[in-house]
Amino acid sequence: MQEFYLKSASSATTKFPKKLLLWNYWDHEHIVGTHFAHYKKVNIIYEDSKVCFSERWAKLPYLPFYLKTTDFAVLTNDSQMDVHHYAFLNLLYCKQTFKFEDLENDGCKVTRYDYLQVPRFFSFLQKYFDKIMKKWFIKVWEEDMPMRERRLKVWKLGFVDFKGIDFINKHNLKRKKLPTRKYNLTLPIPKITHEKNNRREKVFLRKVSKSKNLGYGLPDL
Amino acid sequence: MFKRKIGTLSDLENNNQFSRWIENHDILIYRLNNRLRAISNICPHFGGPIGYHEIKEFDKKKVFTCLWHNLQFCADTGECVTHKKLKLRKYKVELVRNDIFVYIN
Repeated sequence: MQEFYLKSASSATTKFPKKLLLWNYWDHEHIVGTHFAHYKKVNIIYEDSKVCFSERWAKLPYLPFYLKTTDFAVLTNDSQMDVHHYAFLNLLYCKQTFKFEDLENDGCKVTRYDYLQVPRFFSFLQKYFDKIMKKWFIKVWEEDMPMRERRLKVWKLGFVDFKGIDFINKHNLKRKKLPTRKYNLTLPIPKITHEKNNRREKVFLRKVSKSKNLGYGLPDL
Repeated sequence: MFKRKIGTLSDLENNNQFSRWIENHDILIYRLNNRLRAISNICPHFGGPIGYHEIKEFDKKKVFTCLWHNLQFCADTGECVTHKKLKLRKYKVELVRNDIFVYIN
């Protein structure tokens, strides 16, 4: 049977540096947190600074059930990430390529290209596939944006992973004026929230399935 | 230490909790056992918001669950129940008529 791909491309620009975007995309653990409405479980089988082999249980738009996918993510270079998704006993294959372009003033443009392999007679689904993938991109993007904004804010205040901010932890410490702190990233991101078991795999489960979503806080007084 | 107004009792009306940035401190105000409390809203793990979800009960403890990576913190003590080494700072809080004040450095 001749291979045929349904295709879609979505893109958006941000005022955040590329390394911060890469932190967000390579943080496979946050999908059962920040994206708790769409994912209920992630199992990281292997991960290093360039590749991640995992399984995810996701609820896609218009589908009434959770779809288990096997995912192989590769950081091809510091401007591109390829993710290969397999589902339904590997009968379904989807490839996503994320391209990260530096913009002026430490901004970044992200473009995601989606390719779903189908028999050619399903080519009539092209416009539905494009619609679903664009909707999915926007939904996830909107959930990630406050996360990126907050991450950059605390970073500029001197945040250190697994420690927090010095002038908050120490009651009598006054905040010093910090020099401009360039965002830094070391991969893979250390993990501590996986289920305790004897296996080498790291299983992350959603803790909250329903929430009032109180948001990131009230506006400043 | 100085005293800053962070909100009013009406901010607590809908959800019994709210968070707000004051002088580079992100502070979570909530009521627990009829007492007003204030803790840091910044998760020491990666900086996520502790008070995005309402207080929930896990293993008979009232906890906050960080939105980003699900770390849970005891609403009474501020201690992390997921990773014992992490803890949230508590702030002194004061109610003057309807206004809520916190003490920050």
